[in-house]
Amino acid sequence: MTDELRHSKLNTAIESMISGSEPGATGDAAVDVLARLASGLRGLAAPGFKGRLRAELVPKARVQGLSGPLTRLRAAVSFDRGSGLAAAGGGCGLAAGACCVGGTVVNLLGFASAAAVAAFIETSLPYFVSVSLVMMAALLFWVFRREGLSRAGLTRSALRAGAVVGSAYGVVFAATMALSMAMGLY
Amino acid sequence: MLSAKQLEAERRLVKSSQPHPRRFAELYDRYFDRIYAFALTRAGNRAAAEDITADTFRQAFENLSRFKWRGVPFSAWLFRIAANAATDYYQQVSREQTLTDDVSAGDASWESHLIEVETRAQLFQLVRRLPKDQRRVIEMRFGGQLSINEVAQAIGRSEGAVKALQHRAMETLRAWVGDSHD
Repeated sequence: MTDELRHSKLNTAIESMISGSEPGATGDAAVDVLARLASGLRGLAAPGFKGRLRAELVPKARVQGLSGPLTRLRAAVSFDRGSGLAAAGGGCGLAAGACCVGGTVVNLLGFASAAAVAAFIETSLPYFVSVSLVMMAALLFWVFRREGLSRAGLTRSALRAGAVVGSAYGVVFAATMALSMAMGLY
Repeated sequence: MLSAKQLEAERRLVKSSQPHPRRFAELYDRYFDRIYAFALTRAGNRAAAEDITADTFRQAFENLSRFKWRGVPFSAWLFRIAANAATDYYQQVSREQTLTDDVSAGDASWESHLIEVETRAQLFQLVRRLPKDQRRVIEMRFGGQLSINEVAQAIGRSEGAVKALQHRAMETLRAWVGDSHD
C-alpha cells in the first residue's frame, strides 16, 4: 500500500470521526491503530481557547515590573517548551561570551585599544565561562525542582533539557567567540 | 499519583501563587489539559467542556487565596470544582432543554472515567509537543473541525501535504503513547 493511500485512509477515518460517526476498519492494521488513537482527540479544545482563557484569568501577567517577566520566564522555561529552554541556554551562552561582545563594542567605540581588549578577554574569559556554567546549572536545577519530576522522568527530561540548553549555549558562545576572533581581539 | 517530592513542589507552587495571583498562570498551564479532559469526558461535547473548564478555572482563581493545603494534590481541589461546575452546567441546561443521554454518563464506572480522563489529558498534552506544522494540522482538524481543504488553504499547503502531516502527527503521537493503543 502506498503512503498516499495510507494517508487517505486515515483521513477518511478521521473525517467520519469529526462528523460524529464511528469509523469502520480501514483494511490496514497500521492505519486502524492510528485511527483508534485519533478517536481520543475528538473534542480537542479549539485552537486558542487555552490562551484566551488564560488571558482572561491572568490579564495582569503582562504588566510592567519584576513579577511580570518572572511569570513569563517561569512559564517559558519548562520541559514543554523547547524554545524557552533554548532561549535560556542562549542567554547563558551570551553571558559566557559577554567579555568578547563587550570588548568588541568598547573597541569599536574607540574606548580601548585592540591590545587592551584582547588582554582583557584573555584574562577574564575563564571567569565569564565559569559564571555562565553556574548560571546554566542553577537554571536546570530550578527547572527540575519546579517540575517536581520523579527520578525516572527526571533522567529522560534532563537529557532532553540538557541537550537543548547545552546546544543553545554552545552556539551562542561560539558566535561571540567568532565575533571577537573576526575583529582580531582573541 | 504524585511522589512526596512532587507533592512538596506543588505545595510550594500553590503557596507562592496565593499572594501573587499572576502566578496562577503556572497552575493553569499545569492543569488545563486534565481539567479540560475531565470536562470533556463528563460533558461529551466541546462547547460544554469549554464552558465547564472556564467556570472551573474562574472559580479556582477567585478562591485560590482561601485554599488550604491538606496534603492532597491541588488537582483534587480543582477536580471537585470541575465536578460542581459540570453539575451546575447541566442543571442550567436541563432547565432550558431535555437532557440527552450522553450528559448523565451514569453507567460507566468511576475508574473507567478516571482512565479516560488521564488518557485524554495525556494525548492533549502530547499534541502540544508536536512539531509546529503537525500540531497546527491536528489542532485545526480536531479542535477547529476544519476540513482537509480548509486546513490546506489556511496553512498554504496542498491537501496531500496536509494529509501527510496529519498521518505523521498521528504516528508521532503513537510512538510517544507507546503500545497502549495497539
